[in-house]
Amino acid sequence: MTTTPGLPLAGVHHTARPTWKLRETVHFYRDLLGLPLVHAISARGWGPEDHADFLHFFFDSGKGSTIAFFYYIGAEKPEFTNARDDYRYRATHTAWRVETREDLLACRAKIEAAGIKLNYQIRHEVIESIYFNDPNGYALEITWQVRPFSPIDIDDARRTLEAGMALEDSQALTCIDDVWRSKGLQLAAEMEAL
Amino acid sequence: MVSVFVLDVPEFLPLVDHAKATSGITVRGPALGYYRLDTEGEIHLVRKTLGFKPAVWHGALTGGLIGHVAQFDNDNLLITEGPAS
Repeated sequence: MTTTPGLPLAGVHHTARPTWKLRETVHFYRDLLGLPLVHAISARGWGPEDHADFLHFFFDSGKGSTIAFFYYIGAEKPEFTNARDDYRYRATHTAWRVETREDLLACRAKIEAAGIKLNYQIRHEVIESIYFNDPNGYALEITWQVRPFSPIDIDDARRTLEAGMALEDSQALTCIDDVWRSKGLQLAAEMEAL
Repeated sequence: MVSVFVLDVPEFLPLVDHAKATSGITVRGPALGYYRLDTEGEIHLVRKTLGFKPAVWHGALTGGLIGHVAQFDNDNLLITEGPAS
């Protein structure tokens, strides 16, 4: 197995998306969710493209992380930014961390009390999450990780992705059963050799 | 033969415990981070018996499999011998 030295990262600084609803966005993140507005730039459009003048602003989401937005002045809203009720659209989302299940439930209570529609509360393998949308339709998640990732999780992730990539390479990835069977056969062979 | 490989992490252990209590299923391991469940017959699992929430249930075979998934819906999973076994 080849490895490369990791980048010296220290977590998320910001993720950023365009917003087409300035007042609603500020109200939602600052007033309803209570994320402090910590930075804003108002700038003339610049750069190689025909770039609109813009506001770029940041809300504090804890431990040095922020969620940021661009508001483009006078720019049309392109079709590709339209929110869609589709799992492939919702796949792009921001997930904030809380430390305990009590904090997750407190977030749920605060969100519902603010009149924000809660879409789901789901227990996954190692996380439990709540899901909701911002005024632009962007998918937001707040999650509590039940346990840390272990060496077993890391090795299993490698096996799963190696199986998936090999099947994709050979155009043999038709359903998830293909991955399960590939992993099973590989594990059986390795266990026989122990 | 049908084999199911179950990752040795807490959220999947009810599957191992269920298999240990089921006649006709042999449980080995953990080895390489997995329990191995073997049977000469088929394996029928019921979600509510395992206490699995839907997200964990639908990933219950993520560890690996030798066999054929004959049925996998919101509540029942049936694994039989198949062409890959």
